[in-house]
This record gives sequence, structure tokens and C-alpha cells, in this order.
Amino acid sequence: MKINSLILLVFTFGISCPLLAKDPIEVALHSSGKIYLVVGTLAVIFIGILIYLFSIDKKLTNIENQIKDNE
Amino acid sequence: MKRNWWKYLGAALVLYAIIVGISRPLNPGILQIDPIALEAGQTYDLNIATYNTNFTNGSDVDAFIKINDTFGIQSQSVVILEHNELKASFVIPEKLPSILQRERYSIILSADGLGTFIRPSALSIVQKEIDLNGAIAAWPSNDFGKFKRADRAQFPFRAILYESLRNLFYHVPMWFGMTFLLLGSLVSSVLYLKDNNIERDMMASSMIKVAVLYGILGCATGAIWARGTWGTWWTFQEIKLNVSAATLLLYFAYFLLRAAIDDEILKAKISSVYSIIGFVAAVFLLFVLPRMVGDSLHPGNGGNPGFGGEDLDSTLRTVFYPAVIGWTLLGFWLAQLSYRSEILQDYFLEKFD
Repeated sequence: MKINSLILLVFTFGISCPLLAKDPIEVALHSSGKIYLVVGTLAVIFIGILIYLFSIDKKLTNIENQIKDNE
Repeated sequence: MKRNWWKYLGAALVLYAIIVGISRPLNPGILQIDPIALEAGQTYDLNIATYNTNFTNGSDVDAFIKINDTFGIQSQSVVILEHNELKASFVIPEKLPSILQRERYSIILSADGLGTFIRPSALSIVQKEIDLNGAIAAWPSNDFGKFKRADRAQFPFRAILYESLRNLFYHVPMWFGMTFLLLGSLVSSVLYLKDNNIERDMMASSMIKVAVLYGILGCATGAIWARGTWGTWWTFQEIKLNVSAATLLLYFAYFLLRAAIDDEILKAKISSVYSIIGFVAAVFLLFVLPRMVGDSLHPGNGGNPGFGGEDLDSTLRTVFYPAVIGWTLLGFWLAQLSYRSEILQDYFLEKFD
């Protein structure tokens, strides 16, 4: 376990040469300084909170409909 | 307004964290040096690629190779090639004040307005013979004057992380928020068991609902961050991932438990007890185990460099602490909304059934 994480660290940390074969995702992330990771993080949080708000909204709508039906 | 002040405070703090967290620039950094394997006694033109610099032809940039805290080599000349590339010429003395034949040394750049930035252990220099005293005696000037300071607030530059450092303000507060919400549910559950007020149990369940939401968001945002920095969406080698998954499973079970019991009072009592036990387990899993295991991929743990000076840079702190408070307050706001909708539902079910 220690060796694996050490190798992972050395691979990404120690090598300054960008000419190693990299997959396109890594190239895109690196050239933009990985700002897309932050964009993705914020998007996920926002969407998650939105979904939660929708579910509460739906619950409140149901209650309001019940009140309306029963009047 | 008086009752809801904490909600608006939470929203304001999160807004601040998003705006400053995204717009404050990173410290400049050194991306690549060519060549990196040098020999003592030779002259080299080092081609240095930088990040987040805005060099112009008139920029006054100094370059240094740091041998140790006492000795360094200043470049003979620095030529600006591009806004993020320069060429620094160094004359490496024949003998180095080091007891090793080959060692890695740091390179430092210092520029007006941008400040001083370093790439540790970037160059390896080989010397043919080791002569510590001779090297010190023959060493050229060690007087470098003052290093230049940056003229604006900047976040630390960290290799591998680069801009994703900003996730500190959005991913980490999810876990802080989850913990505070679980603490709130603990208090609520204990209060329920004390005075049997069913509303306390409903509050506890709402807080756990949002805590689980935050935990899921924390895992999801962590997976995105990990894919871009560790190279994988998930790994079972990392203790923090394992314990957070375990904690989430624990609290998924809380909802299964509630769903399985029909009688309201029995449901409340059992889930209150479960949430108290669950909190103790969660504290152990989230805070004790990672420190016991020690090994970690997370920055600041397991021998990895942290985010700044001593683990957390002060420029990060000014955004991180408000972010934690803000996201936590927002979490309690969401919990309160859930609680209020539960109360209303209960009220109208009783009225109309």
C-alpha cells in the first residue's frame, strides 16, 4: 500500500518532462491548470443542493395540494 | 430577519468563498526546467517554463540555485523568452559545499510584483570530488540582496494541484458540514430521549438527511478532484475514502431503520439510539483511523506536502474558515427546511386523515 502510493506520487510529482504519453483528459486538465476540476466540484455541489431543494419543494407542493383538496 | 440572520450569513460567506476562491490568483510557479541534470564546473543555460507569470522584456527577474540555507548560486544573466518562459545562465563552481557526490537542489526565481517562488529539489548536480572546506573557501559571493515580494494576495502554487487547490473551499467544507450536522443530530437525539418530544427526533432525522447529502457531495467532488490529481476516481488504498464510505453506509442504514418501523414512538426511540451510537462510530472512523493509519494520498497527510507554509497557508485560511462556516450554516438551513416540511406534513396528515 505504501509502495503504491509512493510510486503514484513520484510519477506525477517528480517528472518534469511533459512528453510522456498522457491521456487527453490529463493534457486538457494540465494545460488549463486544472481549473476544470474546480468548475466540476462547484457544479456537482450546486446540482446536488438543487436536487435536494426540488425534493423539498415537491413535498411542500403535495401538502399544499392536500390542503386544497380538503377545503 | 432577526430569526434568520444565520441563514443570510451562511449564504454571504459561501458567496464570498466562491468569488474570492475562484478569482484570487495563484502564486507563480516553476513548471519545467531543461536541463535538470548538471555537472559541477560547467556553465549552463537553463530553460525555465513558469506558470502564472506575466514576464515582459523589461521584467527584472533573478534566478538562484539554492545549495543549502547558507550557500546559493545566482544566475549570470536572465533572458525573458515568453510571458511564461525564461533562460537563466548559471556557472556552477567546481566544488560544492555538500558531502554527497550527487544531490538535488532547489531553483528560485524572484520577480517584481510576482514575488519569489521555488521549485524544491528540481536540479541534480554531480561533483567529481567531495571537498567541503575547499568548496566553502572558493565559493563566489553569497550576497543576494533581498528577495522580491508579491504585490497582491495569492494562493500557494502546488505541483499536481495547480488551480484545483481552490477545491479546498468547496470539497473540504462538505465534510466539516457533515460532521457538524451529525453533531447536531446527536444533540437532538439525546434531547428527544430525555423529554420525548417527537419534534426533536424529526429534527435529528432532517439533520442526518442533509449530513448524508453533504457526504455524498463530498465523495462526488472528491472523486472529480482525485481523477484530475491522483489519476483515479476512487481507490481503496486511501484510508479517508474508505472511512467516509463506511460512515455514509452507516447513515444510509439509519434511514432503512426508520423506514422499517411503523410505530412513530418506537421509530423515534430506536433511531435516536442508533444516531448516538452512529456518531461515536463516525468520529472514530473519520478522525481517529486516518491518524492511526498515517499513510495517505491526501495533501497534508501521509508525508505529502500540505497546502502552504505549515500545512495551511494564511492566504488560504482567510477563505477556508469562512467557507467552512458558510457551508455549515447552509447545511443547517437545508436541514431546517426539511424539518419544517416534515412538521407540516405531519400536521396536515393528522388533520385530514
